[in-house]
Amino acid sequence: MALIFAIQEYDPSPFYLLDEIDQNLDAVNAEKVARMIRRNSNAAQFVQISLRKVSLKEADHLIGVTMTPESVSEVIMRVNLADIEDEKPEKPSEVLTA
Amino acid sequence: MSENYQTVLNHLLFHKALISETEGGQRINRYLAMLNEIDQGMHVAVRDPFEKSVVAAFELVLERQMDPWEINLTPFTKLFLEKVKKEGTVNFVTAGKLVFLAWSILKLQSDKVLLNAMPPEAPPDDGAWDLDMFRDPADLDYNQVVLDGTATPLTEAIRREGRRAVTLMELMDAFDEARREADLQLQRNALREAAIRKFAPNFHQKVHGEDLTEDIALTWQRLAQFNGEPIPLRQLTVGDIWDEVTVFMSLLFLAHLEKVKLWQKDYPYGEILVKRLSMEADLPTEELLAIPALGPKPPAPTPEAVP
Repeated sequence: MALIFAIQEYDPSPFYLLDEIDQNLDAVNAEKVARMIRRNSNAAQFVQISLRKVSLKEADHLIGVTMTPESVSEVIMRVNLADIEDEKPEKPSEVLTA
Repeated sequence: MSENYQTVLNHLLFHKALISETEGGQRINRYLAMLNEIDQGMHVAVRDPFEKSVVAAFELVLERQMDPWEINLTPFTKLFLEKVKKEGTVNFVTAGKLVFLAWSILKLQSDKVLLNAMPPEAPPDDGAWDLDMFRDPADLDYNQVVLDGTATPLTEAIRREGRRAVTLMELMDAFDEARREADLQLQRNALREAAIRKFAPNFHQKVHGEDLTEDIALTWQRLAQFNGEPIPLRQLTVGDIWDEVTVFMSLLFLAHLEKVKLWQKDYPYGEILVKRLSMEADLPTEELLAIPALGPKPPAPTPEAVP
């Protein structure tokens, strides 16, 4: 993961889609990655699929996706964390949870 | 003053004479003081677990009248463990050190046996005939040697020497090494804890802070306070981001388990409503167990650990 982020630092993209990159990280490292994405979101847009609360906490917007009994993924709610007073975002980044 | 006490005393004094005062004289002086107190029937009051181990070893040697120059580790280890168990606490570092010492000696003996089993090196061949090499009759006529009934020209069988004797002082060295290792370990632990406090003050809280099952149970308890009518999501949270995220994540799993129904009035950020579909007070354990675990997976058992 560090290598990929280093490459992206050298040759940045305007948009990133990250799929459960923090799933197997311990809580401390998951938080480090979340903070780094938060910091980098000043220069690019990040859409991240995650089940980790430490990642969701750093996001500006949450999009709740769950699977229905018919095995269809469905967006059931969107939360704007920027509305919560104790965290004011600078640039938008989104986190999807599935 | 018992005879065995005198033997142990002589043993310690002998080793004290071998070393310089700066290296270990104080240590042996301490052992001598302990030995004297034990011999006089006094209780040696020490709190340090390693000092206790040393006292226990001395007591054992005196009680069982062991030869301080030749202590068989097999019965000693057994007796020592029995003794420390009676004391109430077992010092596993010291006990492990004893086993390690026994193993080391066994290995040394094995190496010696292997070395003895190696064929002797042939003398360098300078090309000339050396008739002196046949001066032993066995080299010339094997049958004649057997018939004469002198020494049997058979290679001695390789056997492991069954005894594993060490001196009392070697035992004390092992205890001392155990103490140094334990001191180092304590220092490492203290440094680790200090580093955690400095760089990640809420490390322990973070490590144990992500338990989905617990989060879902908490959210379900909050939902159970309402009578099943649709309620806004914000009524389930206490206002801070962490709690918001906890409830958000839990509701997704509850929706997947068909315990709640979620809908949003207006996209993208309209009011989110939650309705409880199940009237159970607590969620069944088997349903909670199906929830995925977060974080790194525990290491797989090693092949040695599998029976």
